[in-house]
Amino acid sequence: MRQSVPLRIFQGPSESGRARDTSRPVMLIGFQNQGNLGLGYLSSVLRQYGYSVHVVDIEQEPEKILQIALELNPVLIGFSLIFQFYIDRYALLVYLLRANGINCHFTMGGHFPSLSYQQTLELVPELDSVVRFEGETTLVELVDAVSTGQNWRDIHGLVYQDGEQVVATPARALVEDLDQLPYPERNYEPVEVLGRSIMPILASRGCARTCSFCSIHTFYRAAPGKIVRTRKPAEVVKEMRLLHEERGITIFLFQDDDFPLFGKTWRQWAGEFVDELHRSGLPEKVIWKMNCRADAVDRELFIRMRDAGLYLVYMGLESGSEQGLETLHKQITVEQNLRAVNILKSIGLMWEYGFMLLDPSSTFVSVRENLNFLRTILADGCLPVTFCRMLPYDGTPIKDELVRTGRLRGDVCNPDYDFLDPRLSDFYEGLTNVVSLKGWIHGLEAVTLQLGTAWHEVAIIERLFPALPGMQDYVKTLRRITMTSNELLLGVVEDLSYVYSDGRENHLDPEAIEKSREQILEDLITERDDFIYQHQETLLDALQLGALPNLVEEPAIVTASA
Amino acid sequence: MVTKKKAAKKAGGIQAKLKFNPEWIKDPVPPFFKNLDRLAIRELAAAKRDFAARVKDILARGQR
Repeated sequence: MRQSVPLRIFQGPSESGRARDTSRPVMLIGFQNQGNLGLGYLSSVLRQYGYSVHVVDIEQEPEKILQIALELNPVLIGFSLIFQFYIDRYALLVYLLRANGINCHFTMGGHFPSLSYQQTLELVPELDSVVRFEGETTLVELVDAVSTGQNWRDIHGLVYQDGEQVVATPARALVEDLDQLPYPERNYEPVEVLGRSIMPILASRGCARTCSFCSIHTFYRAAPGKIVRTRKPAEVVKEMRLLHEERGITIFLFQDDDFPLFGKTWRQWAGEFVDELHRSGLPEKVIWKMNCRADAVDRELFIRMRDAGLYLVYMGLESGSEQGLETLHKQITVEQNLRAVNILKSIGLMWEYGFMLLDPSSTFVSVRENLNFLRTILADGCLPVTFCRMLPYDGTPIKDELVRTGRLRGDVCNPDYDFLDPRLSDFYEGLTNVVSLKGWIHGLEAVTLQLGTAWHEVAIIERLFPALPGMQDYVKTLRRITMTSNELLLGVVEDLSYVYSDGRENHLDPEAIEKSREQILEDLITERDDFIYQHQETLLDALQLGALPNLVEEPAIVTASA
Repeated sequence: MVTKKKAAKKAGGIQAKLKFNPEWIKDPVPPFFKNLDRLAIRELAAAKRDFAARVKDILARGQR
């Protein structure tokens, strides 16, 4: 289904003396998870200049992608690489396409290709070029040149191989005014939860912070121009209103690197955004989620945002150890993390978090500090435990430091490092053996994802459906199940840490743990389906009527914890 | 506690729009991005080997 929003005129490439031949389409290949706003923006800009664009999901069968390319006969194929550990998959696909006679221009963009362009050209030698940094203008100029047989090697923002040499043209400045961009193409059916449609959206680009494990700030700082750019609040709200009215979207997921909240200027931006939402009448019709740092959580502002439809806050807490936060260069304290969590709980806002149990500075002491932190913030069973191990990606300061100290291991697809205490590697290996991390934390069948989904449903029901009798009891039940799961997992991790640090005997029984996990999942699904089944008619009626949200002062998420 | 049999019956009676759908949470990072414990890395590597084998197969068939 195409979105019938009007395109604006993006003042991208200079029009003087430019020629273009739009008779052949452009093919873009990338991940389609989360709607992929990056590909959406590239598509809409190319369309604005008259090109037809065909977006293909990299996760399709390679035979299917080849078939599409053969049928389309594109003038250019752009590969969007978001996750560096998939570069060999891209390399194979590029090789397959070339070997089967696809001779058009191949280019690649994304964080990894922008920052590690030499490596990209080495790993994917069939590429003609790499587009660095934000690609909207560069890609149009490149397609213009290629489509008309003009020289493309002078275009700014490109890298290419010239014999033995890698040539980088001057870097292209970041898009100064994001409101000049047309709305991203959203040429797909939205995901639905409980019959409510979801769509990603962007209010800003860039991140001013300097976390050591993240390449986002490196990406933006390496390009000329202002690092953080915000759209006008009125423009963001206009896009939301159009998506709500034309496509029935009721849940918006802001995908900003760091939602504009921090400091005087962005707090003012957030205030204007809230005011604009109220002027539009949207808070009675839609809800939204955003990502931010814990130090941006402010009680007064978040109450205002909650009342303007904010229903979910994702925070990268990352560590419950001061040493870990310092290593990750979060420039935040454990106390600030705790304060943010407490504020969100006290005002009834659902939240999620990112957390790294292990990082290159980890010790058994910091691991236990992290476990205690998780116990503290999740004591009321408000959310399931989640954690991961920090991995050193290209373009991150921490990877450079690991290289400098000789601790970097693995390769571009499987980056890894040595812990300072080698027993931690054994502990992590042991953890993956005793507890299937895939079954508890990662993947579709994982307890964390399943419990998280149930909690999301609660937040959505509370905000977008009429009040349901028995909701408080259901929330209490969910908390009980979540607490059981959290206590078990955190206990296992802690016990295992003592096995490896102090040589305690390992009494953990993987089979028993797995049985408990299965029981937790069974209880969850049973209770969830029972509750939804009981209220099915009310929920379906609300969907048919397009019912207004059930805004409450203190949602059950909070009140049930008391 | 509702029995498993009863729950299965209820799950079957729940209309498609209201079915439990953990797949929708793809934000802020899709699941495979988090699948980076060592077990998952091994699985990822196996998937990539499978992909490479299929590419080789396609090329081989093309050459015949």
